[in-house]
Amino acid sequence: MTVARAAGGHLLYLLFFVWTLFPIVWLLLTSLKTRLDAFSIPPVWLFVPTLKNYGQILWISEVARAFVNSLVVSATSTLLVLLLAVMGGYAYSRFEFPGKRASAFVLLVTRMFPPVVIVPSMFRLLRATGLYDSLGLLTLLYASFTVSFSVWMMKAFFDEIPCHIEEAALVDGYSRPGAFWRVTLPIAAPGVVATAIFTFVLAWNEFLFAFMFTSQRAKTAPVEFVGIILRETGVEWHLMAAGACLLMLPTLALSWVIHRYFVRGLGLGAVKG
Amino acid sequence: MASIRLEGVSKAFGAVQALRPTSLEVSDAEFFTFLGPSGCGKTTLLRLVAGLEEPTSGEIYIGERCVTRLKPKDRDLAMVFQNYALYPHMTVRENLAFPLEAKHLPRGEIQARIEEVARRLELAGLLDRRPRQLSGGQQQRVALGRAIVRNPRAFLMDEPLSNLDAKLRIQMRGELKRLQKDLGITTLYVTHDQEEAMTMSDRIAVLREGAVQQCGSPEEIYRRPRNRWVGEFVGTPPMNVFEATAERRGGAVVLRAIAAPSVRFPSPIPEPPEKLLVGIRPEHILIHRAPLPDALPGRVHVVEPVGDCSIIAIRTDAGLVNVKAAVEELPEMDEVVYLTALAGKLHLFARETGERIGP
Ligand SMILES: Nc1ncnc2c1ncn2[C@@H]1O[C@H](COP(=O)(O)OP(=O)(O)O)[C@@H](O)[C@H]1O
Ligand SMILES: [Mg+2]
Repeated sequence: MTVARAAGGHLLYLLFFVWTLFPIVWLLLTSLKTRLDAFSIPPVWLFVPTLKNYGQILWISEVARAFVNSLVVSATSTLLVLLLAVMGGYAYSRFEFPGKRASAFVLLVTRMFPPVVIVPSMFRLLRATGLYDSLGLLTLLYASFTVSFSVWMMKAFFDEIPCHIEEAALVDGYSRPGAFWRVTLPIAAPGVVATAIFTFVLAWNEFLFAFMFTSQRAKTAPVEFVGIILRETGVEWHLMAAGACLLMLPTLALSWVIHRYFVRGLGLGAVKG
Repeated sequence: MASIRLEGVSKAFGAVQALRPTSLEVSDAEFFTFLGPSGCGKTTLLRLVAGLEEPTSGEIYIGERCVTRLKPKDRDLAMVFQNYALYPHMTVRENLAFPLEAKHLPRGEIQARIEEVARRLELAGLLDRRPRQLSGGQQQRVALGRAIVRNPRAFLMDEPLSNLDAKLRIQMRGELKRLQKDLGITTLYVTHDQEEAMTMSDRIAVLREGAVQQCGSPEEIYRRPRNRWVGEFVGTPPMNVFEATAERRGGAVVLRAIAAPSVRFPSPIPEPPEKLLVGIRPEHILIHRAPLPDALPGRVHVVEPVGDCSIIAIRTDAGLVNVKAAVEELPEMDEVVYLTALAGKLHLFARETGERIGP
């Protein structure tokens, strides 16, 4: 009975993995094939892997630049959001101030509109102000999209830290900023990492606004990637696959970090009084 | 090391009067305890002294200096929180070093002080662990260590023993008292446990609903409770209190329990009010197996032996009476017994206000 149940459970896991991983594995395999292998029908499963596609795609100057753009925009907007989310989250968690409830509500509600509704008005505004097709614009846009949710996320992490621990630092001879820096922030580190990853991944994956508001200089990797599909003379599956894998790389790396941090973060449960 | 003085200090949280205007002085090196039930304002009082709350009125002095408007960091006090508030991301060593780093002491000195505290509190083997890897008792010792390592002007302790199991609590009670006397540092201690307060303190202030009811040595508070409430709060089991009338009989004044008129006590004071309350501590009542004149008869409700003596609850016409006595032969449940009070051990309180009457 239990054996059958366990076997059933494992079968479910297996199905789940095949279901989610199949497209990714397929992509990875294709990215390692030569053009000939990539196009062969039926698909070949045994082939000599090559990294040539990766070299080739990064050699296209637009692609390389798009990756750099993506990295710059994602990293800068993440730093910006972190700064605001840590300060804002702390304020919402610890202090009473006029308009606290109302502003917290607005912060959350703005997240519920479909982002595409602001495109038309933004488009004309950006053309008029010359912000169109600039990295600064994308940075600001991404930061403003994630900042509200990130503030909430950081607030939740700060809420988990009992005030007593901070007060102990105050009595131990530290100012409020000192106590924040030496005690509160280090304890909230898993939250900071989670918020950073959340923001980074959202910025890295964003397509709609990058597509609408850039033309040449500020194109990001996802936009360029779609460009390859649409532009090239024929569809170059092997190159596309290599591009897609590169696109996934930072997200994969961050997932690994998040996994480690969350395991550590749970261990901090001893904070509770 | 310093005295601590409160002058008319009060604290209100909106409509809640957590602490009513309070004035008292704790002398240098004294072990001073605030004792009271939960919610009576003990923590608030300690936080006011620490500077974690601002008083609604009044001034606080440490030594000769008025600290009312100083930040906590500038008061040079050490606080032990009820749930210890150790820094979870630091090792025990780092926890102990933390207050010293705030003072920018040289590394060598920090090291030396940590070693000394670790030796004193038997933390040496734990220095590289994190708080979550420690037992409750060990965490408690680290919290204590973090307080004493600084050599502060005073200790503030908010129910530091209440999270320990009974045996460890009693052991730490002694350790803490000894430590405080060795260091000679003024200590403000907060507890709801009257036994803890009685055993450890030089002086006690009994708090009720934000107001100090009585302030004095443990003995004073036990021997001469200022009002009925203090009498009942301090001492286990609590004091027995009856309503009584005073009557003149010949030359003497006698007190008669209203619910059991056969019971009479000679009045300890010459002119008591006509109606009053009489309090008798459980340890000042004698149990007799045979009837006696003026004794209160009753049936044994329950007997709780506690080693060298027993706590016996007895149903009488005057209500349930607690007796604490070393009886050779324990009475059976429902056995009829006769109670008399030890002469000179009565406490008299005014019937309306509950204030103490007489010496
Ligand atoms: N920050 C606060 N805001 C509102 N009321 C408070 C606050 N802190 C304490 N109180 C109230 O003040 C009273 C005394 O609390 P406290 O000092 O914590 O009592 P104790 O430590 O003796 O149990 C309680 O009625 C409590 O509800
Ligand atoms: Mg309390």
